[in-house]
Amino acid sequence: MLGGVPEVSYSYDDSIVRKFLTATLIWGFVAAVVAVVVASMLLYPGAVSGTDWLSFGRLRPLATTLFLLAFAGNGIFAAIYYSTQRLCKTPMWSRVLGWLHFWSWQAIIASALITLPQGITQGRGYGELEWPIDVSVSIVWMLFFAANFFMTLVHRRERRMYVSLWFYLAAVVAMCLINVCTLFVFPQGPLKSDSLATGVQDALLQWWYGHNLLLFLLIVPFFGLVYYFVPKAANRPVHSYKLSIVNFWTLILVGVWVAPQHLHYTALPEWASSLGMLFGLLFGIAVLAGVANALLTLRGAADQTSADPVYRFFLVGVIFLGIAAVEEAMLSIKSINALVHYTEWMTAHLELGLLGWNGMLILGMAYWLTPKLFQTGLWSNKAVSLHFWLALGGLLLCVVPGYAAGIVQSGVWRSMDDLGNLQYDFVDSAPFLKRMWSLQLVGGLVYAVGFMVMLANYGMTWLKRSGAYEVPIHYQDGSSERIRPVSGPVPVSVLETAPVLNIAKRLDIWSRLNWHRQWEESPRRIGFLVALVVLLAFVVEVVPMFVFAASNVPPLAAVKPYTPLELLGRQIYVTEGCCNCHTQMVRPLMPETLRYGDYSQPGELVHDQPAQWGKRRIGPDLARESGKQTSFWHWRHLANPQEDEPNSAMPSYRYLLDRPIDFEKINELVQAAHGLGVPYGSELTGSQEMASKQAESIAADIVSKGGPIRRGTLMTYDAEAVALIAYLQRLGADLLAPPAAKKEDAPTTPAADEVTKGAISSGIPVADRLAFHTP
Amino acid sequence: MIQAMSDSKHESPDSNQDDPADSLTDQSFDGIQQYDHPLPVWWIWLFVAVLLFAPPYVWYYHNGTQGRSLADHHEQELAEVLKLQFSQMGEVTADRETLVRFLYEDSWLRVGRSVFKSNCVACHGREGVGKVGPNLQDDHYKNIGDIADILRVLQQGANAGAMPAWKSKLSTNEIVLVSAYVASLRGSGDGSGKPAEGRVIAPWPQAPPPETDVTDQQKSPE
Repeated sequence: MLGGVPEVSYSYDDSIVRKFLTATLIWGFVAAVVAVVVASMLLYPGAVSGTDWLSFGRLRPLATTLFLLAFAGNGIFAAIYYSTQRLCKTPMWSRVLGWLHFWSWQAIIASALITLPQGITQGRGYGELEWPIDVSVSIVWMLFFAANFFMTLVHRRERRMYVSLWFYLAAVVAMCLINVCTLFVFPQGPLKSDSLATGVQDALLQWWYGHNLLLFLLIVPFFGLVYYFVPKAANRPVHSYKLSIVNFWTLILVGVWVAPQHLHYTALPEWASSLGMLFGLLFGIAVLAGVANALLTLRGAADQTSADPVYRFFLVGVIFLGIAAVEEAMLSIKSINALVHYTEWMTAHLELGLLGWNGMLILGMAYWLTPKLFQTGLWSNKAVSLHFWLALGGLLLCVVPGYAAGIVQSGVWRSMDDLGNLQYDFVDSAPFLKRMWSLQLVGGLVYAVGFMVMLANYGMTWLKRSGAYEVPIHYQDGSSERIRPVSGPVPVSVLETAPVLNIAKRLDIWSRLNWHRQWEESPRRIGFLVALVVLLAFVVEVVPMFVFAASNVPPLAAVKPYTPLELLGRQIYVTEGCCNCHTQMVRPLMPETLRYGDYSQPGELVHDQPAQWGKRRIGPDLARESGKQTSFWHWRHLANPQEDEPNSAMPSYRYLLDRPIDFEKINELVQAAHGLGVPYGSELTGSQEMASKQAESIAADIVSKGGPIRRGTLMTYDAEAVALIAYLQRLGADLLAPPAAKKEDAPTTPAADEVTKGAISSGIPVADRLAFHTP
Repeated sequence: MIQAMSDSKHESPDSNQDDPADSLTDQSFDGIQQYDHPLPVWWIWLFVAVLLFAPPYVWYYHNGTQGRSLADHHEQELAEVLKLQFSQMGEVTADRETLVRFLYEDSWLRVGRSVFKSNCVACHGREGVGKVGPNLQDDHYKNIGDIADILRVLQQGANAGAMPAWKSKLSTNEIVLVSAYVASLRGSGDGSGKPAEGRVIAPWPQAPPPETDVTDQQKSPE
């Protein structure tokens, strides 16, 4: 009304928030159920064996995807759509885009739910979804979400953006760029693609995407959530504006560099690993800045609101992030990482972050929002309290046994006697692991029950709502705050009268961060800087792996492409998600090379499309599997893993024994691989013949050891399992074939050559080669 | 700043709990205010400490000096383990008595197994199943009548060089250990290896009575 400027009115659109919140809770419950099913498979591997779409390797990535995209994703969208409108004093720029965003996102999740159990996967960690879904994610994110969000910022009625908006903005911009990492593939069909990068490059790309997906989906935007909802719920001012600024910029500047720390001691060049380690340490500290800010904000409210369950959800969530941050910093240190990498510890670490930090914050936010969105009191406050204890108890039951399992696994893998011999077999940790998995299963069930309590409470509250929602109308004078002059007095240094150099005075003023207020006025500046940091990290860390491939991945002459049959075997390995339980990466650590053989070289992996290094060793490493077991052993083991090792958690792959090899497909695979640079020659025309010859020779080996000639109507040499066995017998064979052996059996076909190699090279540890030279 | 506080729509924070120097920044966003507290000192030092640690770390591990990479470190560890193994073993003589003693020392058999794996599998196959060379898992032997003959064959070779002499390629310790391992393979087969060659010989001698020598000094590994 001032100065005769007309008043403007606006109101917020909460229907989109209601949609996203409802989806969050429903998908959260679905994710918990899938996770419980997956966890029970480890305990009862025989229960569903023989059904391909119900196997651990296929469903485990689905559980992760559901928690990431469906639970955390929808949850953070609800937070963003609610708080952005209020912080910008304007409704979202476009209702239609919001609507499109919501429904297309749910469609993406539904397609993940359909495709992953079918074995339609890229086989790349955290980036399993096939290319059409990845393209959809990118499009939905950029066109339906980022555009709407950015235009809302542009049309805001606040001059400056609040700290939550910086975090949201960073996540929105960065995810547009990060998503591209999942598209380093060449489509080979509507639901099939081949990775453009191989071996070391692909492994780094996988983790570059994986780490930064976790960073920009689970950490950065959730800090935005914290900075908005925590002071709201606690009814307290944020502890420190300066700490908010430092929290934001340190997190953005260092967080995006951390990916290589997930690949310590692997074939990744060591310079990248060191970079990941140092930035990992800084990253942990940067996260702690936000944790400190949130805890100090909550501290002031402890007396008034400790009885409030919402407060408890937030407090516990932030504390868990603090624990995860310290852990993250520790895990970035190479020698500490070596202790627990590939063990259950890492899974527990992810669970702590996902359920502890993201889960607790989403639940706290949901309980805080529900009465506001439905404009009526919660159906039951006691149920909220009950859910808090179920969530916390379930979470602890998931995480603590996971840590214990990790420590025991580490001990079993690493223990050596006085003479430097390994003390335990790999499988010796299995009985303890099974006990811990049962506890974790109980934890998952408790967590899922908590979700049911919440859904009931949410549904009953929804039923209680009044017929039509009241939409409050806000007024502001038309001049708007945006064109108000820069707020706050011109800063004066405390050193103004002191006898110091001018630069000291300037530094003093600079360190008060008043200059940042100007930055907060420009979404473009913050967005641009975030994009710049992401691109810089990509150029420094990832690009050299491609540009300077010869020095980062020294080629090895002995390494030959896979034979056509092995290529099909590898395809089966990827489809079945074997990498969810088996690594293919022997690290240069004494107990590891003693157990598996020489450590993996970058050059051996150049034909691996995609890399299958793996993250978790529920079963042993397979990088040097060649010749360790007979083909007949593999045949029996695939049919019934518990026959040899009753404690094995591996499901039966009987269906691979019953399914015929598709020789047409082998030709397609060879052509596709050749198109992407694998040097094939005679394979291009004779792939089917070569494959059947190799299959026959493996089948002959199986039969000669007492295996069956046929299974039902299917001949052994025609079974897909034979292709998988061919691949397993090839793993690590190239480097370990003694040169003498090559001269002896002058191979007639490459296929026969591989079989021979597989049989004679039995994973010779580097220790033994050294022993040869020691007097 | 005091003015800013009075401007705020919110109830002012309970000032008796907070530092009197507390001040709020001048703007609230959707009712959220922010204190202007300084950064926690511990946080600044932690961050600075890592920043200071980084350059020397990078310089130390990546200035090109040999022996500092993870792979080099692994080689050093290996060498130490081997040194340890042979110092525990002492200088043994390649005679029948020593061989029989090591035949019943499981932890030493494992060392022998690594020697076998790196030198013998090319001809004798995985775990001695036989390939070009004879099967070592059955009771049939071509050039062996007594356990001590294994030492002789290893040192001097057999079959006119088809089995090479290893005397100059392996140390005495290694010859004894790999002989013990080969002897231990007897009877381990499942019949799937190479068909038997040679004749059946008498079983190996029984384990010697426990004695007080170098192998007793080490703890039993399992």
